[in-house]
Amino acid sequence: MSDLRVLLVDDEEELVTTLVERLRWRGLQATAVTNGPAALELLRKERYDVVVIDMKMPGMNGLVLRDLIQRDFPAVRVLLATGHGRDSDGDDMDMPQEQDVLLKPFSIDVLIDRINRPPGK
Amino acid sequence: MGASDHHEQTVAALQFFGIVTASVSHELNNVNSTIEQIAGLLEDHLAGLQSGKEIDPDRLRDVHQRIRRQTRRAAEIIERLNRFAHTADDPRARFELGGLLEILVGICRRLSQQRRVELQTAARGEEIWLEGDPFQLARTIFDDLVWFWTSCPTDSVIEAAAGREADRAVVRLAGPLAEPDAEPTGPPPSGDCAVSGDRRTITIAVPCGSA
Repeated sequence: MSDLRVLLVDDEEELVTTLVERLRWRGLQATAVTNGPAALELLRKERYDVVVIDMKMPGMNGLVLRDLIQRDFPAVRVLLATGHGRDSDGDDMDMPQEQDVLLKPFSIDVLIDRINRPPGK
Repeated sequence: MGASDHHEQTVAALQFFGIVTASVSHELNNVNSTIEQIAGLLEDHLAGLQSGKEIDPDRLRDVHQRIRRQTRRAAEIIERLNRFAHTADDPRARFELGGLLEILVGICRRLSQQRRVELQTAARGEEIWLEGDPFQLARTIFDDLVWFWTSCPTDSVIEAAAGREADRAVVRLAGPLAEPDAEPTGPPPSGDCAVSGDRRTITIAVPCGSA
């Protein structure tokens, strides 16, 4: 089992629960929540090394959640997942760097590669 | 209508169509991403079987149910998009107002949820058959719906209902509107539209004749 602890945040519940099963199958310690406030609550209680966040979520969107995590938990790596290259639905969004973004649908191998990749690579 | 007005109307109509189809493509991409991972989970189980692990039949049943739920969800999304696309077929179509409203609310639900506002339709009452342009009417109602959900507090519910008022058809949108000075977007955008005194309902007059 890997020491890496991964938190997945996506309002698509069936997607994240399936991803958690697949990551655990491969020996990673993975947990999922379906919204930003639940993710922050969990981060206050438990240690996570990597958080994978869907950019489009009701209420607190992924970019807001990323900013809060980077402010309050600077040691945690954040990866963003998006359905499209420009995931805005008309809103102007601060698109993050390509290396921090996963384009849906992604394979489990790509996800694990990004989780294991050192920041900025 | 002058050439310039006509061009503006065409652009506005295309923008509306674009907003709707972009939102639906996001929904379908979510379904596709989920099915992709469920298929991957099935592969994981099969790989386990090949390497001598047993598969619990309940696990397989669970995977099967997940696939069924997602394909059913995709079918509903596609059906809604198809019905919406056909509203642009004929500007003098005969259509039922409650049915049009259900299509529109179904298609807008994901957009309003981004603002943590839920949309729902009231129980269908008397059928209201109209003759006119269902696409333009959908656009008018959409503009007012967007205005309404951006003027609502988060975690609100907006209920849309088709009805009659005197001798004309109307659409009523009900929910908790914010106070006028808190509104970010000014008055409702459609012309023939009234906000109730208690600021809980807006009534949109439908510019189509009875059929």
